[in-house]
Amino acid sequence: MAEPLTYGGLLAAAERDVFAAMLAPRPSPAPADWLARQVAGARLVLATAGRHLNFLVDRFPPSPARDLADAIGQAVDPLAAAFPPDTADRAWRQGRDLLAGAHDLLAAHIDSMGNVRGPDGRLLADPDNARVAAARVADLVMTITVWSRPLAGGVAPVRLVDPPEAHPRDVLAWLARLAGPALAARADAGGVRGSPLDEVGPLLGDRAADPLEQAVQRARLVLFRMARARPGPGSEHLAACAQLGALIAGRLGERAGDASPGGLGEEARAAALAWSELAARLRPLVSLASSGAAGRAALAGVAIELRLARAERADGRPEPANVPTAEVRAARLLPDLAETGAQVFTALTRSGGGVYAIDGAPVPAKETAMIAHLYERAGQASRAALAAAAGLTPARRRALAAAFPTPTATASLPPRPAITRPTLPAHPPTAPHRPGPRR
Amino acid sequence: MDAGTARAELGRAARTLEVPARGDGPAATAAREALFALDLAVGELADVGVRPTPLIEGPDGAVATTLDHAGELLRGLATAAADQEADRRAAYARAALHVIEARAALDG
Repeated sequence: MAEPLTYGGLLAAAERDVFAAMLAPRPSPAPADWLARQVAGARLVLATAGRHLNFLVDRFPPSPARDLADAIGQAVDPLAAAFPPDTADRAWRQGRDLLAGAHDLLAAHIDSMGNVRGPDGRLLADPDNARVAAARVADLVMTITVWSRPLAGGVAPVRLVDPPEAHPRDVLAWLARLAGPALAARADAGGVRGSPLDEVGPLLGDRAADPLEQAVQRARLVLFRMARARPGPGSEHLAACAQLGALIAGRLGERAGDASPGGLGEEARAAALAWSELAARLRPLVSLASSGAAGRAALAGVAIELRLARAERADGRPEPANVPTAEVRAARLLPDLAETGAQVFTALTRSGGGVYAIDGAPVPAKETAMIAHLYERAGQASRAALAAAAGLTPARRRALAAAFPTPTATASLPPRPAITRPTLPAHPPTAPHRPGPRR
Repeated sequence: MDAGTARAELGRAARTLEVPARGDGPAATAAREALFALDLAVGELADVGVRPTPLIEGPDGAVATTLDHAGELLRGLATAAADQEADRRAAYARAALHVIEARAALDG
């Protein structure tokens, strides 16, 4: 089974390639043309890092990450013509491409106005997530500055006056000055590593993922879109969603077996019961809205793939050891079922289409409140089951907590530390250093 | 059978299955699967029910056949629920999923 395509995975691959570029054998003494190729590579990666930092934090108040993005822009923009991308070594270019891929993967989740386009888009609206993700990018920038310092050979220019004429050694010294803003942006996350954004995959799903994973991704997107459609789906859709919740949670409980208090088995069975109760309350309702074939196809897809995965296991096909079980992977849909279900139900009760009892009588307010309460209970029980499930990464647990904040979950990130932020001066008060002719 | 009658039959079948679906073990699993299939079939009926198309006698054939299957399904489910035959319920659940897939394919 291929490793899932995620933002965090692409970023890790980018880091590996950039490290490989920095660890490439160095001629001694380093000739100017070799140094120029390194500058071209570092500039490529830094420019992409700056663009990505801007994307992560430009919706939020000024921050060290935004300062770093500005500083990178000031540092690398004048270098583009003198150190063109095609002169960079391959590892640098690969690192840049992967970093750009990670950027594009995240950027697809919101539109140009910042509106979310998929179920994970809201993670980008959380400043804590942005801060932690930006700190990881800042870490990469920091590493490049550490690498560039010895190559600069002690030269410390404070300003590049004429990049085409500047010796690459001076440029490397110039880039090394990004260390201050990078350090501040990295420290701004308070030492928290791993953001819920790390788990985000492509908006339209990963076509290389296994069929169950693809079915879950497709269902998440379809549910997200249906919850926002006007007119939206009707009560029949909600009943099917709730029953799928019961089915998945029940399978999760069966697989876990363990019924010890607080264990996965107990939590999953509690979730299955909550979903069953909800489905039973929704089933007698009717509404004037359409139930939606797209939703049914997506829900059925998850059920079918889950069943096939179980059948393959029963036939003796071993499960991959490096990923959670099929039941846990399917259970990742449960929070989406709870959230989008509650949204659709609220919209139905407030709209003209409404929901009615099967005989056409209006649904009593008490029953409406009970269903809303059951959605909350099913969501809480599902999250508890997922938290108890083995194989969930800490970042995924934080993602779930972020999606459905609770007092304990929101307290997990430490407060922003007070940091004196060094900045890269565009026009320093000291006399500018004018580099000499190319050495 | 019109959409309203089919829907009412599905509702009766569901009520029979809801109690075993809250339990544990293979029978509960089968009941949950059957209920899910049944809920999908209700969705099918609701979609077609808003159009004045006879379920069985539709000129397009394919849609009518799909819903005919859904009608067969609910009768089978109800029978299986009464007999407490978990395997049979699961078989009907599988059939229902095929129905839904066929309908989705039909709708492009």
